[in-house]
Amino acid sequence: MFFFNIVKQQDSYLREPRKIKLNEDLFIKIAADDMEAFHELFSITEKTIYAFALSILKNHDDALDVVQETYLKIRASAHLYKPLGKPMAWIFTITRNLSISNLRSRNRFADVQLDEIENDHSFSYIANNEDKLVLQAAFKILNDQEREIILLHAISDFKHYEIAKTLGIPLSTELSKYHRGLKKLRKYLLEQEVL
Amino acid sequence: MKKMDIESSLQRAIEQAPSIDFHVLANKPVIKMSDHDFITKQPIQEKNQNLKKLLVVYTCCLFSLVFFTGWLIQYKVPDSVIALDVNPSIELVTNKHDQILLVKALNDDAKKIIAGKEFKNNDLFNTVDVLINSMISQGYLNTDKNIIMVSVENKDPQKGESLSLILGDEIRKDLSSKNISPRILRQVYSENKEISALAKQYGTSSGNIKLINEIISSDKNFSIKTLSNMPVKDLLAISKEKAVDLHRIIKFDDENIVEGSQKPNYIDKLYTKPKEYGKDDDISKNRKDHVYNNDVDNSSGALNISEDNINDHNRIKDSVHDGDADGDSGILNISKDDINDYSSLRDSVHDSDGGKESGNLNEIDDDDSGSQETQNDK
Repeated sequence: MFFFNIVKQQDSYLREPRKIKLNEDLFIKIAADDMEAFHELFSITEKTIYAFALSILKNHDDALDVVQETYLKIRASAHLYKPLGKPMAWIFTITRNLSISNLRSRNRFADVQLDEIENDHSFSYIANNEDKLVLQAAFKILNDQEREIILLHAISDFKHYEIAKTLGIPLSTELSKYHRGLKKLRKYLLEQEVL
Repeated sequence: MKKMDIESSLQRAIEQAPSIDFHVLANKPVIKMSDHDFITKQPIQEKNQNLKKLLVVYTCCLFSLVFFTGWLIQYKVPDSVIALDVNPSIELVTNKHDQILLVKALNDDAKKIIAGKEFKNNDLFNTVDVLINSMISQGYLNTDKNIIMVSVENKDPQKGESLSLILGDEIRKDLSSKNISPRILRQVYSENKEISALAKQYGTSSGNIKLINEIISSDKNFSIKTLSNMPVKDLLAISKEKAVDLHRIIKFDDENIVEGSQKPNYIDKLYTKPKEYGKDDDISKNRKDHVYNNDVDNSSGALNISEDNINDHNRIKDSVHDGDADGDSGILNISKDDINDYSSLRDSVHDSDGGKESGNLNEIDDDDSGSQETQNDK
């Protein structure tokens, strides 16, 4: 019964990738301080933005800070948004710039050490140890772009070409980094007997 | 663990992360930005970038094409065709900047003038200097042979006129410096395909053909083929003889050019009809007698020179001069079959005329009327 509950709880976290279909009109409404529109944007994009920030910062608290700052920036500049057909690209740009700024301000350009990740209590919210190890392995083994691509692919319903377009890289590069990243991750997890 | 399992694991880990409180976020005071900063600056859309790149490439191509076309029109497209006729006939094709695109020898004499010289992209006036000096050094121009016809073909008559004037001055200067007083004829005309084709066919310049056409229009007995081998000096003499008004096509810097033209003796033989010799003056009588004496089989007084065998007009002219030293010749008939070699022609003239009056060298026509045309012209 306990085992069944754990499995059921895990399945409740596992959902279909988020459908991120943003209507650019949302920004017009947000510019007019329409909180419903802002909430809609928040609910659609929050986890994706968090995953993206986390892939850069490798720290849950810093990622949450950046997510919060991202939404505040959106509210402050929604009236300046020019509809170019890629609203998520703009949000990712804000998130990336804020993450880099965050890293600079904390003088943390250097990679976070493995021990730091493994002892990071900020990931204690992850119920399943295996999931936690996989996430930590992703931070340890993958380079920044591989991690961004794999996390975005895992958390959102972005297609490969959409990720490539959003990150501003060629599709072939995106695909090769995605497959190479997964391969590296699998190999590492097998070595660690996680899999 | 399969690929999807790893992604599922990552997804679960992310989904379990605590979210930020939306109400806190919504209630935070925000100052609206007046302009994008480096954080919110929108990425330039890839499509726009590609479009811009395409636009830049297209614009570059367009500019290159425009510049190339402009350069081509300015420097590589023929603008003027200038012909210098003495007897060497040389055609010069120039661009808008009066640079030489092509120098073409229209006859054998001209080939000697331009042999071994490179004129491409040279200045027109320098080229004319070189050509004139070459004509002087090779004896085509001297104090006696001092008539040059400058013909300019240009779409713009004004440009053609000014170019012909400048060239005339240039030639005059060149020749004056060599103590030769030039007599310059100028022609300006637009392109005429018919004239150009005739010029090409007879190996002379369009200007010369125009001059020849004027002569032929007054006397149909001449043919282009015959006249095209003559120097300008002799053509002028014929036009004087035939009272052809060349002013319609030619501008004479010196009105005495035509008046002062001395008719070479051989010209009489080319166009004078035998019947004219029938008058009972002493000279014509003598000539008639002389012709009869020499013309064994008949009384033909015509000059018949096979054009196929006349390859060098000057040589023919010389030969006639040699054979007819007093200029009072009778009728020279040379049959096509008999003239296989110019040397034999010259010899035959010498032999038959003995440096006095040339008679009929060989038998030809049965009729008495004679002809001023060559056999081929017939």
